[in-house]
Amino acid sequence: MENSIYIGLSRQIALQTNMDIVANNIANMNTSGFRGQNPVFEEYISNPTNGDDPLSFVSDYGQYQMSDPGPLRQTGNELDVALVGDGFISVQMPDGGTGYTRDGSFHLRSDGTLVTSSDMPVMGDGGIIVLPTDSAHISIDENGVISDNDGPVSKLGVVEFANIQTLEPAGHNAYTCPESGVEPKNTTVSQGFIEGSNVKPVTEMTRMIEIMRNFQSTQNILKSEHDRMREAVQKLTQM
Amino acid sequence: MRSLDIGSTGMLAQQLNVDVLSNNIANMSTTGFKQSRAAFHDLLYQNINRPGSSSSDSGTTLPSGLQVGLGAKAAGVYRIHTQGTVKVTGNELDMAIKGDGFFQIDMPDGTSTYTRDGSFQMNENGEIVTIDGYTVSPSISIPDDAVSIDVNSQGEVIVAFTGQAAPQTIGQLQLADFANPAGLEAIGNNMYMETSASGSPSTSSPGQNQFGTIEQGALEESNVNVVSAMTQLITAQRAYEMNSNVISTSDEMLQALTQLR
Repeated sequence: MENSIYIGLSRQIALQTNMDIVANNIANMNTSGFRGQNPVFEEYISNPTNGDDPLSFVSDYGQYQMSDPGPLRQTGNELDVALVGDGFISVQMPDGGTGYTRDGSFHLRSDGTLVTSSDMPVMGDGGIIVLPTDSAHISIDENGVISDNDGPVSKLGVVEFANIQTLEPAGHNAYTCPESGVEPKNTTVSQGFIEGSNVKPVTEMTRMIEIMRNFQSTQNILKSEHDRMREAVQKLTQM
Repeated sequence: MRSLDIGSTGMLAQQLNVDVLSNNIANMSTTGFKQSRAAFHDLLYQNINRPGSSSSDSGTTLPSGLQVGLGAKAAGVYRIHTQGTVKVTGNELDMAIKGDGFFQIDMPDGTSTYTRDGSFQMNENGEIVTIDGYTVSPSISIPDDAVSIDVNSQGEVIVAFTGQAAPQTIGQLQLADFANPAGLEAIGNNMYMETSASGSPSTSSPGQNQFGTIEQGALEESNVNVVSAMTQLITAQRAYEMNSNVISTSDEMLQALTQLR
């Protein structure tokens, strides 16, 4: 009897999750290396009476990352790097595991350790990258080789993934992945640039309007269903 | 509604961004000023369906989970120590550093501070001091009867006296540099203090060991790029507005819910 209300409700719950994801995208519009997310919905079929009229609910099933690159912004800072291509830079997560990031705004600790803006050490070919404390004029070539005035020092651990949807966002601009990445084929490093967020404000704003209108129309369905039930009860009691 | 809180984290982050940008623009013509940049990161993710969790008895797994991020947060504000443009002033005690390094200043309380602002003066004892009257380390006194002061690119201070053919070298300026200049703490008045993040200073004569050289009669202007600062300000302001739109949309959704009865 109340199935139509529950169907409307399932739609509203899904729209709220959708709104949360859009809000997170907009909040991270200026976060370097951020990848926007899109929700995925699926139809959930339930057949309570085993009859010919199954009910179709909506379920918020998952989300996927938008993989298009963010805009590159020139900063001129020698420790800023942006990746052109699908790769990620390996970093050491606070728990000791390996994380991956596209946010290349790096800094140095006083001992020369190269860290991300969230203070996670950057991994190179042979573990954590530590630059000599007296190095000046650091240059990073397009393969990620870091050189100072005395020649090459280390190499950024750039990896690619066959399917970037296996990456799980972990906050602090980093992702974790159960698989380890492979040698980069299509990724180059550009020094002095930072990759912005790939969130497109226009798309997100229109999606937000769409969510709100859908929410309101579902609301109307629920309201008319409520009215219908009330009328039915009234009519039945009059008989 | 998570989106209400997410919108407010976005507004707070953009607020900080505008603060940092306005400080950059306010210090557009401050000698030796280095611009800052606010860096942001995404907050924690709430797992609603974990990716890789099982979706059937036969061992299939979800290819992508449902993870809702909880907004953005400022990760830090970093100074960008690129070279500012060098402006010729002709004043013989104005000095600009071309390259890496800082002038070391002795503060009245005995501590050392570091600056790129080389608009120096002379005090009553003939010592080279900053515009606030603090002495430049190592202290160099210029004799009263000196007629001209020359500072070469290696930081040697050479003075000439009337009636003497050969000028005399009376001192050597030293520069200090840090492993991580971005980790210095700004204390205002164009000065920086060493911190554990910057490392301890190493000193050298200008022009040696990768240190910068001195340009006499010139000042280093701020490294703020006005055009990019203005465009970033516009972006930050619009981002702020969009985040406030998120909040009003969430509010309207909640309003629709309260009318359901």
